[in-house]
Amino acid sequence: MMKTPTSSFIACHDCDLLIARTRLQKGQSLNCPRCHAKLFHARLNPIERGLALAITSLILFLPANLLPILSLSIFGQQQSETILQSVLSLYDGGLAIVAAVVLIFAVLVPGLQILLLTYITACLQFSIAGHYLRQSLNLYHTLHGWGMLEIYMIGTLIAVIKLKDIANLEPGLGLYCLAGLIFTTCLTNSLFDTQHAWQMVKQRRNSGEAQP
Amino acid sequence: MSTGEYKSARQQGFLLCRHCHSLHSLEQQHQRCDVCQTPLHSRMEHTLQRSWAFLIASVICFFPANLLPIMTFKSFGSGAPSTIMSGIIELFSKGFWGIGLVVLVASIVIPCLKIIGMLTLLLSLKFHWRTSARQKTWLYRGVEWVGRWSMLDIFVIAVLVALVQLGSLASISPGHGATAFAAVVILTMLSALNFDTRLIWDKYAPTDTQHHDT
Ligand SMILES: [Zn+2]
Ligand SMILES: [Zn+2]
Repeated sequence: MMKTPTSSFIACHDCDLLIARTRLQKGQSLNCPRCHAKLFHARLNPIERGLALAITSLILFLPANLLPILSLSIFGQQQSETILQSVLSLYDGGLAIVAAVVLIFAVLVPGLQILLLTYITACLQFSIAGHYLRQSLNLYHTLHGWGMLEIYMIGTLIAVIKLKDIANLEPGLGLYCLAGLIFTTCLTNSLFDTQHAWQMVKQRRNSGEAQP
Repeated sequence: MSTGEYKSARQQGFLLCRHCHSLHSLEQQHQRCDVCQTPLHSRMEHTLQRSWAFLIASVICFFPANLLPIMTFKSFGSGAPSTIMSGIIELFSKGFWGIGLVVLVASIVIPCLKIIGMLTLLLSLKFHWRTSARQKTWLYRGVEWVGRWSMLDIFVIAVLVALVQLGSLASISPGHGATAFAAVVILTMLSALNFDTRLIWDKYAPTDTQHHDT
């Protein structure tokens, strides 16, 4: 059969080196001997942990977007800011493209990533058929690196420093939710990866073929 | 060179799906992966052309991004537009060295290094420079990892514009330099994304096949 050779090897995604497949202990990782790319990490319960993190992120996402991140007071006047308001202000200022960029990278992509992760991990954890599992995993893989919440956060801190001479600034509840959301996103990136999910999809398909 | 003893998947008749990391036979080129349904390519198609195109576009946008004002601060009706560089100089002159350095690195140094890094990679492949493949791979990884952080200035502008809207008292309005700057960041990210690192290592492949008698 054709299946034996392809299943006994793996290839490096960065340098295309062909490597014999080895069994990894839980927690171990395999690096490419030639270019040192991380090829596989046998993570502990990635699906379960991914689901827990996805639900936490889901809870934090709305307040992080709707509650004020910063409030500014100057000469008795007050102004507060949310992520969506910064998008609107850019749009009103005539920069529709920049407004769209901020909306996509700071709101839509992170939100979509959380929704996709919830769907993927829930389907795999509870053995739900999940008709869009394949598309969701593909999209999740493509979106990797395009969510920029942590950069938005650092941007907020720099804005605070730029303004602190001329005005009083107060952190809002949204800022704490945003910090929490960034923390869960970082944890998700280190505890969950799509490779493990794809393996489960493959296993499911193979067992489905075996017993029609 | 120790890389000579290694064999790539393509030379052995295999093809890796980069989406789901499953291995296929090379004959399945241009077909769809049976696991994730993405089209299979042993190497990304038109990778160098696309990478060049995005890089050249980003170089073009780099000039308006630095020359046009990114925002205008007005207080009691007076105020001047500021560019990326004048914003950094202002931070330095106020004594915020640390934060000035962060903005300088994120807005000017990183975009420049990204463009130079991608240019080095593309030129070295075009003219077959005899440089270490491992170094080039690390250069690429650096460019890829650091790339998104230059979006920092865009978010600073977004926050400032939303916060400082106090009518005639004080207001900040965005400038078109920001659009060009966002374009630089996105275009350099796309240039890196469309670059197939496996081409760096393919340079060493021909010597392998020449010595390999079948
Ligand atoms: Zn490798
Ligand atoms: Zn695939």
